[in-house]
Amino acid sequence: MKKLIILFLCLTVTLSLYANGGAEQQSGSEEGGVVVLELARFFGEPDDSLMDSTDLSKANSEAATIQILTNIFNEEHQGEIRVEKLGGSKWGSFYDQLNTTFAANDPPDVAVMHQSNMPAYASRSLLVALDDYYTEYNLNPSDWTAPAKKAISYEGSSYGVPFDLHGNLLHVNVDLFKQAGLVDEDGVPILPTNTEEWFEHAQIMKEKTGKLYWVEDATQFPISFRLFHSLMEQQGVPVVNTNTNKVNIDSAAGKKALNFMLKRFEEGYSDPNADYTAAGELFMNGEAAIEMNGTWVVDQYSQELTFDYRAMNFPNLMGQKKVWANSHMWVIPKQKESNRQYEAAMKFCKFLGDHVYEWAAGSGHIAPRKSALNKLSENNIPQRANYAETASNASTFPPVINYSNIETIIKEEVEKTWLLDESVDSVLQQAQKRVEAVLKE
Amino acid sequence: MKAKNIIITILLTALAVIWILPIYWMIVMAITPNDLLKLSSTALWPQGFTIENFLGVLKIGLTLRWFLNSLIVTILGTALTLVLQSMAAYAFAKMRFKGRQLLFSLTLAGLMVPKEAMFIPLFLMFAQVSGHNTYAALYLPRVAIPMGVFIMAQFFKGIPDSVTEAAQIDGATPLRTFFKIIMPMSVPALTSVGIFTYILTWNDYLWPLVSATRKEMFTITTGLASLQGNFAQATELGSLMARGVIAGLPLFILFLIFQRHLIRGISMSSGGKY
Amino acid sequence: MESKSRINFPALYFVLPFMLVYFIFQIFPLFQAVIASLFKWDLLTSSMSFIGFKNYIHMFQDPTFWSSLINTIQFVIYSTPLLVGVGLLFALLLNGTGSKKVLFRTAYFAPYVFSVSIVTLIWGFMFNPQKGLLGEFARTLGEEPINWLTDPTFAMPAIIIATLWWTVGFNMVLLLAGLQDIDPSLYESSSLDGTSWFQDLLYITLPSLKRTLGLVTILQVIMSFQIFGQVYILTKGGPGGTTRVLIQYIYETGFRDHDLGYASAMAFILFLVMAVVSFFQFKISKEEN
Repeated sequence: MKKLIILFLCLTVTLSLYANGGAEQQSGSEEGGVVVLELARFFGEPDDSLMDSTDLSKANSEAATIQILTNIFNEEHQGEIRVEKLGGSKWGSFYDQLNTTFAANDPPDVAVMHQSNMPAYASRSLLVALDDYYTEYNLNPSDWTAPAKKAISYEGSSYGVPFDLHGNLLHVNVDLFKQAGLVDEDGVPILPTNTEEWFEHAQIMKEKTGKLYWVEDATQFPISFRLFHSLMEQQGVPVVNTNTNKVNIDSAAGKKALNFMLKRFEEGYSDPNADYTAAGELFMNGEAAIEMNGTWVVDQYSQELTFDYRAMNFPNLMGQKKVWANSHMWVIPKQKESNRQYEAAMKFCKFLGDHVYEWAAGSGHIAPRKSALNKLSENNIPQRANYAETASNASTFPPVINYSNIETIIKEEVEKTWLLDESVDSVLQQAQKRVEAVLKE
Repeated sequence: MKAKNIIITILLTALAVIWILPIYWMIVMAITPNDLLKLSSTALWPQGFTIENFLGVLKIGLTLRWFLNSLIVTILGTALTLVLQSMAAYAFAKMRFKGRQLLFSLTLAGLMVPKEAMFIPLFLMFAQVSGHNTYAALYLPRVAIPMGVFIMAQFFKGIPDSVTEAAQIDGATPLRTFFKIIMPMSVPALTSVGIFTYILTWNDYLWPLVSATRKEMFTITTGLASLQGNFAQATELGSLMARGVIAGLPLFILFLIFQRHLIRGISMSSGGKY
Repeated sequence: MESKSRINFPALYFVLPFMLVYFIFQIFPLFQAVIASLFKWDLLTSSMSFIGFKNYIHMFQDPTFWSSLINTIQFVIYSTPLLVGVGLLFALLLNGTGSKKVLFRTAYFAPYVFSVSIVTLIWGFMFNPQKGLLGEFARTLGEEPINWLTDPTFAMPAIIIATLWWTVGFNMVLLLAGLQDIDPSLYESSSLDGTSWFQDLLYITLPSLKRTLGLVTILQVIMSFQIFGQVYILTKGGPGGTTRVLIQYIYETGFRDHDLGYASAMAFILFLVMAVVSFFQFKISKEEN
């Protein structure tokens, strides 16, 4: 009996050395000449019922929309191209997985990327520059908004097809604003136009309703970094000037931005310990009048909130109308061989670029094409008109190679002022030094 | 005597409640609709009831395949670890040979290497032989982790030399001594190593993520992770908890089945002393 | 019997299979990583250029490296006695058969079956002052809830608590296995003398458990030095980087910043630290024996 078990185990081990993931191709050509495209993306998976759907009316989330779009493409190109999704990562591990494919010189054929991360790959010549191919494949670069064009470019070349811009918005509890008397004659909430007004309004809100004026994730994700960047951009001082390689964190602008951020917590108008979910809960439960969050929660809030909700553009507090944004784009990694993959990949990217309207409608993100933006306003998709301006105010971070490192440094340093009681001056100096060291590498 | 036992029981019960509470909370959230959890997640009693969070996972066609993959990888990994590593441990503990000390130190050193540092070299190694998306890529690196060798070596050292010498006199080969005498004597230790290896292999995430990239080859951990959207803990907390329950339940059941082997059946008066 | 000139064949059979797997999948990649620490090695392009000891020089001037190392050492010092002590307590109390003991053992071990992402998900919520059980509990007592994960005083303790909950079962199980090897006759003779349970514990059980206790402690120290997952997800090294541990920094350097050479160098230093600590631990336990 024991010998049998041992034999069985040895057999299984030997067999398992050859077992692999089935007949599905991961990339390359199949019999019949079908080009198989390997697609790397996050966004998750929709309900099982939607996994094979081609019905765009069911696209009510990021996951559903991208899956349905992929299915439609596969259907339209049956016998010619088939797109296969790679990998099993959740959002946080996407780049870890993607990076190993680059390390092994076997990257996917098409991948989604954030604008903030793209420079790391573009600077290493790992992506195909697409400038010469847009017209050939019938894409319309002039239809892209200025922020979208900026998002895909690095050192003079364009490396992707923009899919969306996603930025910070203010999610506003209109009922609380009405209660505080901070609405205009149409009942639209009045937002501050500078920092003094901000504190005045916050005080009014406190007195009239007893609720927090404004919350955001102050501790978990790098939201405080995004706010800092927004405020710097509003003052016309980029955090990093990529032309001169100069860092502007420890500056008058930096001080003004951080002092404002800190004062909101010190005066009790915001919650310095809120993480992402807590900030959301505070807002959804009516404990905070404004939540600074992204475009991705617009549809959820529209459908679920019981009070009068309005998504609004991030206010101009320090000079210019600017707000942090990032962008999803589709890139084509360079492959060891085969033009056929590039053609098919470009076709897929064009297809996705043609459907940015559906993506924006289904996900809440901002479309990168002017034609789509117009259509969204016309078709009265909930809330979109209320933050349409963000499409032009969107300000992506300057294209740096070590984005994640810089993002973490700034977030970590600025939060020391409200979590560790360090002084504004000292954290700005530390952040300046650390970021300069990173840029030197 | 009685009073002491009662106090101890109360203490243990209180601790057990504290230990189970988070798991209980997890289960409560797993059966609560996601929407209710967006507004409030502190309830210890379900605010609503749904099996959708579980069904959402079980309805996916590939879930069974993912389970199977995890099962195969884990069973093979554990079996190989138990056999190979205890054999090596026995040699280190009970046999004399040149270079024994050096090899044993080398083996121990392997425990002190951060796996994050070796991750990429290991990944590239398999990539060069097109070895990814195979079961072997998933379980072989686990067999190389020398925790079992270290643990079993310590336990084997505790077995008196008289046992092995007696077997030798009887004419048994080392192999026979090992399998017929030493292994049965070491059931509690082997059970521990088996349980640990099984759990750690099952819950491995980062390595299967980068190695088993085809949907059909996902393990249950990566498969469930692939379902997750961005900011999932704010929007689908119940589903996340349900997936955690699904992934952990088989391991829990396994522990229940095998834990009696941790204790020797012979009634030990030491057990009665407390 | 020492066989100096003849190969001990049985030993060869016993050791070889494991050693083969070990060398291919552990030693060889490790060797590559150590060599890599002398290079600038880019994750994305796999390009390598020799830079000698530059990585090490950079490391010794890198304040984040030092703060991460110190945080790690702090974690090891604070958590090891707790994790080993509680594990020992449980093992001692729950040794033996009987359904009550089975129930308790299962309760304390159960958390270990869950993956780090679930454990941190639960405890992330538990520790959250607004939406966690601990916060609720404090409020019912009329107290202000503690900001566990964002208060520098409580962040490390929070991680230790979560780790204790999650992994004490490991130590308990190993110590239980160790308890099984204690010769029952030792207790019989003492019961004739009429000694108390405390004396039995001190003079029979603990001395007999020395080997297993040493094993558990060394393993715990080694595992604590390499802690990463819980920290990364619960606090991301915060607040303000005060809980960042070395493995987290190694991960960030290698995977996020694509600098594998530097990451390898730091990993090698961490390895040396662990090796030195383990060496001393072995020496101490040898002397006691």
